[in-house]
Amino acid sequence: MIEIFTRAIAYSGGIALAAAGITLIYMATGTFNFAHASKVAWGFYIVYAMMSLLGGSPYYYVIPAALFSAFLGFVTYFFVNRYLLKRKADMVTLMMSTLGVDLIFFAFLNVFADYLTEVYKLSARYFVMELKDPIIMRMGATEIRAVPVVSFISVILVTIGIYLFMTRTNFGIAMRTTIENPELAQVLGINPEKIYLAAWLLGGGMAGLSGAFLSLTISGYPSVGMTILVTLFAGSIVGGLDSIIASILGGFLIGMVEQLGTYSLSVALGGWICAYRPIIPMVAMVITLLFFPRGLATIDWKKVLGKLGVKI
Amino acid sequence: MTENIVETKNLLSGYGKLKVLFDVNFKARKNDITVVVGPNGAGKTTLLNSIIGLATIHDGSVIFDGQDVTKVPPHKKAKLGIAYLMQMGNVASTLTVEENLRVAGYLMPRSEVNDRIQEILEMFPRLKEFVHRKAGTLSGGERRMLAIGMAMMRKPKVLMLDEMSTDLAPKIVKQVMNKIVELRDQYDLSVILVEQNAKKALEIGDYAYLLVSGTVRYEGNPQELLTHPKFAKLYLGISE
Repeated sequence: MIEIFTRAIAYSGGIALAAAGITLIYMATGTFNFAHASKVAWGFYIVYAMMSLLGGSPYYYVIPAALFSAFLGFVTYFFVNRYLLKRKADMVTLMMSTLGVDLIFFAFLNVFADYLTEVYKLSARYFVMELKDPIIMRMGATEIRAVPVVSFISVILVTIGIYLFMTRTNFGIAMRTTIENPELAQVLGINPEKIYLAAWLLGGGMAGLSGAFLSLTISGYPSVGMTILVTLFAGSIVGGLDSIIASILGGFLIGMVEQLGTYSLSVALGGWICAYRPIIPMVAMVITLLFFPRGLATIDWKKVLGKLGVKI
Repeated sequence: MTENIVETKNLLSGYGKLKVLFDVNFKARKNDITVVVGPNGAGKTTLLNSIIGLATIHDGSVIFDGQDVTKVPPHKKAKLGIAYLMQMGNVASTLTVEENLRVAGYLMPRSEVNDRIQEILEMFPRLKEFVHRKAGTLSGGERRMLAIGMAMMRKPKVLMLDEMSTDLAPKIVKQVMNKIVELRDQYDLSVILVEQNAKKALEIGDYAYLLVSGTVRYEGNPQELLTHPKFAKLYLGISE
């Protein structure tokens, strides 16, 4: 059970980071970014390829994975999103354009996987890196690996970092102003393009970071990003699309529900239920939105706790 | 050096394909309060949006301090010294008063921002009480004061104000108008004041424009416009 729980934490940490990236890009540019799927998958492959070719701990390659996906964020913004925003494209157009970008990144990822397979004889079409993750603790027969701890700490650090960036730096405050009112931001001298670019870079970086941690938790294959995309969006929406911090919480909760829910249901009903695993985050999302239509960010906690008889 | 701080020449502008202003020639002189009045839909806001760069300019040009800035984006015009207080959303309501002032000083060197915020708070002492409150919780009058304070953060050359008196009590409107005159006198500002509350605005103006259906119908002395036998009643609702 401890192993299941620690795996769930590692997985949820990865989902939370990617969900925060989706929300950040959506808040800044109004773009629901489907290309996040491939950016997460590239995070997997950067860690896998660099560790296989250069050796050492997978954690050496977490930052390169984040940087590479941030670069993909830059490419998405600079070559596609920027032009559509200038032409005031509607939300559907912005969203569908990222689906196209995702397919391009996915195609390149397949080429990269084939290259690793052909040239370096790696098993790049399907790999498991969990065993490369160092064991940090043994509890009887249960081995606790590093990734749950690293992933969880990273989520906390990213949350604190985003909070400080958004509230203590001039650029962060400028970003909040642009998110709330782009016209006001412009007349105050803020170049919105810089803000949008920063959002794509940060969002991409978080996707890469997510992919790096998830690569030590679940199996890697070129379409892994697409497989978990539903969970990422569910996390972002459950958190609320107007708060990055809440989307981290939403992503984490959805990840935990998916992992622990799948485990509990498979114990109760049998292993066949695992095939329906992606339904679990969707059900959790629907139930949350039925009670809190705008996500966890808009919950009046004082009121909720008051109803439960807890006084603050 | 030119006497006009802002000028538009044969301006044809609007939003996308929609044209709102037709062949508008407008001049705002240095240190003057230039008032633009007119009925709803006359194109007053579009004139300010065209000057700052938020509207689509189909033809004509915008000159600022002798320089053609027709194609300069809004954030660069802010850098040149144009401050614009929009009618709606002129403060960021999810930011605190202090954060609003800080973001208004975005273009300033970091070392000067804190001192300037203190100067602005001295200029608008009422804001001192709310410095850590979200701007969205302020009253209409307090918001206007904050918006003017934000505009003054960067010591602009031109202050463009759009419908500052909307939804304000007459007493507060008077305070706001007095503050505009005070700022102009103290800081050598040039002011372009777009107002639906024509009487109050024309009273403090040095020069006036009457816009009707996207064209200039009158330009000249504000007092004359106030007492104009036809325009005052027909377009401005001023009966005496």
